[in-house]
Amino acid sequence: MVFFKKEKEVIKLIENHADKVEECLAVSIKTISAYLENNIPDAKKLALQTDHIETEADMVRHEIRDKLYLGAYMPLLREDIYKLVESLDVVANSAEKSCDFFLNQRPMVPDDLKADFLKITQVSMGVGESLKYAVLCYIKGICPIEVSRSHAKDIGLMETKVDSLEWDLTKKIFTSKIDFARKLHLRHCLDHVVNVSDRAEESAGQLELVTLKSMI
Amino acid sequence: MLGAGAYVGWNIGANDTANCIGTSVGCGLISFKKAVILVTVFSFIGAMLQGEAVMKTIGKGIVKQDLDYIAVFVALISSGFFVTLATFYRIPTSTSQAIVGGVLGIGLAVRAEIDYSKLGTIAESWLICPLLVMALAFSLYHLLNFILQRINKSQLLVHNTLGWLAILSACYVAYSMGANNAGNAVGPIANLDIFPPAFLLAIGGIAIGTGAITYGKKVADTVGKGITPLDIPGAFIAQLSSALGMHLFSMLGIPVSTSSAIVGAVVGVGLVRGAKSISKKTIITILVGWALTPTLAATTAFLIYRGLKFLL
Repeated sequence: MVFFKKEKEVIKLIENHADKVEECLAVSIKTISAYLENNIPDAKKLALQTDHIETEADMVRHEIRDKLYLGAYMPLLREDIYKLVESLDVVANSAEKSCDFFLNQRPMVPDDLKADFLKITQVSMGVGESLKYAVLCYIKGICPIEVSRSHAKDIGLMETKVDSLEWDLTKKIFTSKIDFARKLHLRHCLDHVVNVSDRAEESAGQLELVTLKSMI
Repeated sequence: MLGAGAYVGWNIGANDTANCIGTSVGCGLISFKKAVILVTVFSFIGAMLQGEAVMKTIGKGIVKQDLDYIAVFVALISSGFFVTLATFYRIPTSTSQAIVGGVLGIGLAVRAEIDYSKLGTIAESWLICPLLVMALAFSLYHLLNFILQRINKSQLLVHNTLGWLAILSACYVAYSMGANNAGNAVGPIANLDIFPPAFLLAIGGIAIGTGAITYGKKVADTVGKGITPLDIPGAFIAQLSSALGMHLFSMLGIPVSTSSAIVGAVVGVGLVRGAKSISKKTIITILVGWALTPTLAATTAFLIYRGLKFLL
């Protein structure tokens, strides 16, 4: 169709960006998992891959921004679209930073806490698929708005689960027999991991706001 | 005399023209600057192509007597003054009602034969038009909601399309306003039979555009944000319903106000979300403005004309 060619290109780019964000989160889980298994060479490779994917996501975001401000969509809609894309990008950034933290600062995770760290990483960074589906559901119109909003709410629930896991793990860290500096370091490491789901929740909030405007 | 007509046209531009872009500007679809350019162009085209029917009604439809220069001048200035006052206070008042009031006041002052049946038809339209447009906007908004819930298309693309349609409908409203309201500005001058109708309509069209550019933003803010908050579909439906109502009355040769049409449409859209979403204070202010404008214009025109005749 001749009409709205630029707009359709933006939708395609957002789809591409959402794919990159999801991929970034999935590779981040693998990176941290490899690190916790003491497989540092693989963890390094995967962390590098995470960096590359995040950079690609950034490039797509810039392309979306350029297309929007060169005339795709009405000015009123542009801001909402770009804010949504930006919020998705922040999720990928936080996952990348989390991997960088592990590989750069090499926190010494006690063996008895490794399973907990892996679990919280998988839940916190596992929001990628739901987030992508919620965004594409709305952007591409592949499902009713209510379904998109329901997926956005699910992300909020996942974040609540991460909060609960964070509470338990923090308690375990501070009641363990390791020295206080290590405790603080692990707590700081945990902050990075849970930050991903926090940013995903914010992105889902932004999506809910945008979808609200589409509901009469 | 032409200056007085242009003054009324300027008032229409400052008050009524803003009404056709108020919804689009209010919901952020288009900047005020761009919107007034569209209004200037389309209202001029409307005035030139379809403005003659209303001009004839205003010119000789109500008062069955040729009016002298002073009478026409007083009618125009009296009605224009009250519209300027309303615009200053951001009230989307009816310029049509003001000019009909002014002409009636003069008619009574010169003891001319008044066509009360015609006057009654016009007064009825002032009541019927906003109510009809309100019902139309209410129904169309529900219909649009029904359609939007059933189409499997990107909501972003749908809203983008509706945004463009809202701007197109604003152009249509501007066209209808030019067709309907340019006659209000220059109709009383047409009664003098000294200028060709096309020339008068051109003056009316240009004056409307100038009014919109120089003083239109105040009332646009009231219509776009003051009555109820509007989104893109709401702005589109309000403008479409208003345009349809205006066009209907214009074809019948009945001068109605863009203000009453758009206010009725915005209220209709607001009612879909519930009466609480409508600012009652703004609505009461507007209704009082509608009642006072023709009354005060008629009284003032009557008193000034009698005063001048007494002095001269």
